[in-house]
Amino acid sequence: MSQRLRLLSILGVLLIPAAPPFFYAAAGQLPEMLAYTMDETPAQLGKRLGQPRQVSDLGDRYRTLQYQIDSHDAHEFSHIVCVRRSDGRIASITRNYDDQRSVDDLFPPRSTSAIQWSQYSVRVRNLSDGKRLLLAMGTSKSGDKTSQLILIRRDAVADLMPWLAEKLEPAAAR
Amino acid sequence: MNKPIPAALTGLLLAVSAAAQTAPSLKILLPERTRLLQGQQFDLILEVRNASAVSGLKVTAGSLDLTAAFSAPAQTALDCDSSTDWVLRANLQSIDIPGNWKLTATATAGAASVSDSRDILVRPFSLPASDRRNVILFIGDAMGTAYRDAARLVSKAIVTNGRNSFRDGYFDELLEMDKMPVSGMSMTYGTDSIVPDSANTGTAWASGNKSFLNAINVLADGTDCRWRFTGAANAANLGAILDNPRVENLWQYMKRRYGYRTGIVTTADVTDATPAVEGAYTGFRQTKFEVARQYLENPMLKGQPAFDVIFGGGLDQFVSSARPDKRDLIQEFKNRGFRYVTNASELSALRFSQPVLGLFKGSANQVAASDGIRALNDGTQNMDVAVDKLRMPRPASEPQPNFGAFTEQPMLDQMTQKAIEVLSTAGDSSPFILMVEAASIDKQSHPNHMTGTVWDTIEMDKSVGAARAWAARRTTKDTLIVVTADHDQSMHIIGVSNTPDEEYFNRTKKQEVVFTTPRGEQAFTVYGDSYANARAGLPFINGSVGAENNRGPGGMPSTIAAVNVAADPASSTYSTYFGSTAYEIDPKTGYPSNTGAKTRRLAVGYRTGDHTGSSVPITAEGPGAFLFTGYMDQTDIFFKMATALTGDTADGDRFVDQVLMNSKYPRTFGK
Repeated sequence: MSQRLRLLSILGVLLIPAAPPFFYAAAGQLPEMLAYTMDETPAQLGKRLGQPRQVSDLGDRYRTLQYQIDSHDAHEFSHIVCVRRSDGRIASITRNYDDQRSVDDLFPPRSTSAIQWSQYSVRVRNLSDGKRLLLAMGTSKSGDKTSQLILIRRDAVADLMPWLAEKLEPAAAR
Repeated sequence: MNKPIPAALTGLLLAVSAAAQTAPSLKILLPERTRLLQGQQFDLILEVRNASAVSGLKVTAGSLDLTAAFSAPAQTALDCDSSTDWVLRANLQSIDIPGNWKLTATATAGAASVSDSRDILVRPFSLPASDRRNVILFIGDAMGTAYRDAARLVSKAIVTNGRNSFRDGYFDELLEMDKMPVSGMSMTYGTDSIVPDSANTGTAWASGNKSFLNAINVLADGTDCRWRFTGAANAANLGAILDNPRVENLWQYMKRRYGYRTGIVTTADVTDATPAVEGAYTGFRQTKFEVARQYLENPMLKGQPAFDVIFGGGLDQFVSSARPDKRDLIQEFKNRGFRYVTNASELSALRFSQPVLGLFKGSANQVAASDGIRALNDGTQNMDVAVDKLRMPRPASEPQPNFGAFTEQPMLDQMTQKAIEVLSTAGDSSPFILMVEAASIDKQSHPNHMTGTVWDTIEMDKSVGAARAWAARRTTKDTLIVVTADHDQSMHIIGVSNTPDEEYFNRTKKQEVVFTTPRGEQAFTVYGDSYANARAGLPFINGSVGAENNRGPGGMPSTIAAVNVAADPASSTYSTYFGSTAYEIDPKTGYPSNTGAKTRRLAVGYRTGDHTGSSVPITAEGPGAFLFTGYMDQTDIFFKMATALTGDTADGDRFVDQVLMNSKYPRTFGK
């Protein structure tokens, strides 16, 4: 290895920890939905997802930004980011996949519970930072496949998913 | 230097701001420009926000007092915020007297008086005692002007005995839809987007009112945020998806009030958006299990079936193994007197006017999707496209067919003829209204499949021809035929390709092109059919390299970047742009063949893989056809069809017959 290449390698290793978490996902080091801290700015989201295909305001409180980065059929966007209008903070990120897939790797039994609402079920993972929940929509147990994951702030559940808030432990929904 | 704001003033400003944010309000959930037919049903819904309680409600429409129609206020979280809100519903209301109505609602919200009002135009509608008319509405999904052009340039440029029916820029014969005497343009904008989808455009022509993307005959409401903010449109949110204000469509209106027979024919899943707007009411088009249920138990018809004829794909949405409610809707349709057919032979054998359900496509694995609102294999519920049903070869860049167990699917014109036969057999005393959709013009445009797109448009035109021939045979001129699109897509006509078959169909000769972007690599595979189909994202076939904003390379993408070059189509020297299209008819199918040494293929391009906001053409024939001239809003189609049904169109019909069709005025060749 030349001295120049060695220097570049060292610089690269030094720079990796300084990179925002979503870069790890790009490098395949963290699954995409775990890589979002939900503190990303619109510019940081833009680097990852490009320009939103559609931006909608529904009411005074939230704005939704819809992105399309793969081949999912029209009008069911690949990423839907819900942002609080007052401070621009991300309230939820929805990821729609083309096909249903196993997401068991993202839902370790120790931190995962299953919620049943009428005939519908959701696996809920409490993420370790205490502020985010990861949801596997339409699944109740290991082995169930889904086409939709939702990452949501705990403090947005009551607003955005009142049906889920009713079922969650009070601490989780707070 | 700025002066500090006194604390007392800061407090006052905060109080004023808070009061402004939390002031009680009342909203009537009808758009600013509400138009209805006399007696057309709609849900009249009021939302009261930021109020501890609601009392003293009074709702009037002119001199009519509608207050008693409302349910008690129901506390409901609106707008996904923490305020205390209320909803008051008066379902399935109607105004029976035509005219301009001022709808006013007042209430006491907490301690405040709140009010709202809307101007509603109610148009007259009454049927004559005799001379009842039929309507057949053809929807070419995404069939903008270029799509009609493409179908004409392929199916009407036919070489027979060395003579092309398209010579020197003229056609011997135009498309069936071209021959219709009246034409106009329809503006397709939705309430929330200038680029609409099939749901809210269908809502426009079916109900006469505009709505938002994905909406099927409903208007927006304050609980939409629960699924539209997050995209969590699933079974858990079904209540919020199905609670929107409904507006009755023309199909239910005519069946409920006048006993019209109704039908839908589509090459899509029958619960897809375009057929759904004739028989269902939901905020989200993908709630397909619910759409199928409403076909059986229609809310506007007191739970009776919406249709007498249903033809298309979508089997999985009806079967108990897929549906969360475990209902077997096919059996339930049979229990209500419907026959059930599953393939072209059974369809052909139908002989009676008894209602019929025909589901010609499904999947091999009939289970629910994880969202709980539709079948898992949603994409395989659409019928196969014309080129595949005709067993024609696909060019190299388009996928090979996979029929699964559904190898004998009918063509659209066969379904159209049979639907008309079933609906009209009851005789003139029971007229009908039918929608026929060529769905895969759109579905093949999304992935830029040129032959899939164009041959489906030709299939649609043959269906229009079948309807025109049926109407022409009738002794009474009693059938209005309207042909239009719900929205446009980005295909355009770019010329003629002389690529030979051995290149056009060669799946091994390809070039993979990779662009590096800030978001990663974008890869395309280019085949030898590229000169006949310039797909979105491929900046080639561009001779205008001198244009300032058009500095794409003048050749194939090898000039950008290329990997995995099995055999470089860029070395080809085939031309685009010049000459005329030329096809031969395949005698086995009656459709233009896409093969042969003498074939000169139409070359098209796509700018995107999605809808556009361009206006779409509309053509019409029969009583009331003259109404469809000029630029119009898509909602006008609903009212124009309704006006044509009333029979009060004699003056205009005479104009069409005596002026537009009169040979003393200039006529277009081939029309």
